Amino acid sequence: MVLGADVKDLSGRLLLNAGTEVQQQHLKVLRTWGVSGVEVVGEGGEEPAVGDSHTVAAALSPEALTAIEGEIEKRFVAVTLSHPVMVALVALVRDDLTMHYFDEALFK
Amino acid sequence: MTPMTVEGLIARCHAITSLPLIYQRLDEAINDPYSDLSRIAAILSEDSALSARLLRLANSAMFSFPSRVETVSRAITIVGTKQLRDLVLATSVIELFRDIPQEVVSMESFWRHSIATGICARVIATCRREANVERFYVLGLLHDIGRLIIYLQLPEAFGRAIGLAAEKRLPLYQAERELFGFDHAAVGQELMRKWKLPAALQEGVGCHHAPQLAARYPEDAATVHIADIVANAFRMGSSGGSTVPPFVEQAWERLGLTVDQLPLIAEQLALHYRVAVDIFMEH
Repeated sequence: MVLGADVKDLSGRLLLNAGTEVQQQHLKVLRTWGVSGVEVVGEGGEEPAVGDSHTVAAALSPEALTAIEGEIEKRFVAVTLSHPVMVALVALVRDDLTMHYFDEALFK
Repeated sequence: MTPMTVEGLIARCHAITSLPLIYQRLDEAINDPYSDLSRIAAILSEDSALSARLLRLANSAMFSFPSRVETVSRAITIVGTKQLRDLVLATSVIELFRDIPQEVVSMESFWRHSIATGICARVIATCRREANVERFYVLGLLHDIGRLIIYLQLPEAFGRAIGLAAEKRLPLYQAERELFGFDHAAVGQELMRKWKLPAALQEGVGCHHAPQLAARYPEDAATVHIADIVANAFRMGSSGGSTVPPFVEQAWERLGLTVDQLPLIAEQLALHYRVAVDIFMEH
């Protein structure tokens, strides 16, 4: 999918340029900016899904959820996780991995 | 074998002991009180690939300028001369290290991690309302450059450091210290000194794993310390290590940010990361 028009936020700030090939990572960016739809060129097809990580996590397989927790443990093995900012960072990474696994299932 | 020192390691890297001429000329022109915008634009225009990259950058969402920037001199007025010098430095350094052999470390992955850390440092600096955010971008981009020097000069030993880190579940910089007696941060700091780059950049690179030791520029060291952790947490590339480096609480406190600003920082990082990778890594 290629963007047919620039994507801007409410204040007119440019988020993505027209002509950008839409990748999985862009979906997350658009979601975080609250963009629910974009103009695309080329053939039709499935709509990119937009949802929050909690509703998405419910749709993931137990294997995927275990894999996500395993990956978090591996990445943060050298970090003491008692500080609130590290707790918040782990939560954000969990959301990111959840979306990643969900998009992977979607694009399969 | 005589023990290797940081200075000895840098001295052996003949190809990178100085920065590209275009950066040096630009730096001179910017520091010259009699110089003007047209002279700076003329220097930049001699390098068409560099000019094209700067125009793409000025037109990207990172600068969110409402109309299209068509000329180098316009780009300079939007980005700022000092900021522009920092961006030229970023581009020059990537060019300098582009063609090194990559058996142990993927250059693509290395620069992805460096760019992500740079963007994250820039976002943190923006949240803290720092005047020149591009210098934080450069600091993040160069923070692990010492690793490339170690890798270039001691490829086998560097492979052993990666192995030791994996085996003992250590952060890679601690494995480097165990094996070599110094880490990549010290090597990077020495290279910044050799390149005569600003003292803030030297200390920021040198203290990115120990920001509490930064005596003169603690905010710079704290910013890059947190940015490195965030970039590693989201696994945006890798400079050889596979874990998030240990977190120093004082660094977060030094920045004066609140925990609820973290999601915004992560969002902004995701937003600009891919575009920056495209712009800085295209051949």
